[in-house]
Amino acid sequence: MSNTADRLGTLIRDNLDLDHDPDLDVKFSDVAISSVEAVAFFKLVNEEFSLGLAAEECRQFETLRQLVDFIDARGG
Amino acid sequence: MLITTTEPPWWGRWREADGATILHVDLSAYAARDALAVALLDEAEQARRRRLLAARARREFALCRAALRVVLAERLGCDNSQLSFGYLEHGKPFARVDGRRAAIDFNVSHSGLHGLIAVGEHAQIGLDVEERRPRKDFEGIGSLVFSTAERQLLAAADDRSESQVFYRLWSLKEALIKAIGTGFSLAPTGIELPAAMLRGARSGEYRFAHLPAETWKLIDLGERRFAAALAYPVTLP
Repeated sequence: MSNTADRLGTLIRDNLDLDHDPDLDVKFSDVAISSVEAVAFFKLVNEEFSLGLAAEECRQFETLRQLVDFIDARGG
Repeated sequence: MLITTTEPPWWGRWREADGATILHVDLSAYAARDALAVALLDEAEQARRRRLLAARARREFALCRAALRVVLAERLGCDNSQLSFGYLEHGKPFARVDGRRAAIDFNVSHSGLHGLIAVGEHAQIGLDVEERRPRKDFEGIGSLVFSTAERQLLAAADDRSESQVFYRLWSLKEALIKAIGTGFSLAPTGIELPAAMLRGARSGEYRFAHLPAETWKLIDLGERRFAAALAYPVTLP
């Protein structure tokens, strides 16, 4: 796993009530977290990686891998 | 009746709201119900259920979808096997009978142990339910989805009322977003709830900035157990 993926995995394990380990290629829609949890998680990602993205921009990411790639392309 | 065992339905009529019937679905973990619910799903739904990673999510999906199937089949006078579902661009589902889109709309939401299903003749129903789960970061989350006036309302709430205010605002906004069917492709911070509803009114009317000819009715359905809201268009061009 990349450093970005590790950091995201830690954010997920510490903040989302999942009964499975995060998988880079699973669709977010199949993780089925609530919309409140999704926005709360997105806020944490924004803070961890200084992204400054608006809520409507999170829908471009369908999987954790797409989010990792986006963050890495921005320089982590 | 599609449920033929002695197991009582896990859903029931909760309330009527302006021509929409709203049902409450009990999402408590109960293996006998789960098995009955899964048996009512078609192949596509069973595949969808299997893709869900968490047992809780699989249970919520099956119980809500099975209840929806029974209710729609009764309303449409068809058999469960004739029903299927299609999805619009942003994921909003619609019902088909024998492959043809049915003249009925519905929306489903669930949170914790509570599922709600709204069924009616309105063209685009949006429904949301939120258990008021304690969080430490209401204002931070609100900063990403609430308008300036909504954020001010949340900031003014004391510790006892903060979760009530947050989940009420959230459910009202999400019901509108689900009604129009765009998900978060619309900037949620740009949707400001009706001023009267920010002052506590239980219903109001809303117009999206990009759809000035359409008026949407918004109803606060919140009660002791959860926040909830219903939205639908009252005029369409």
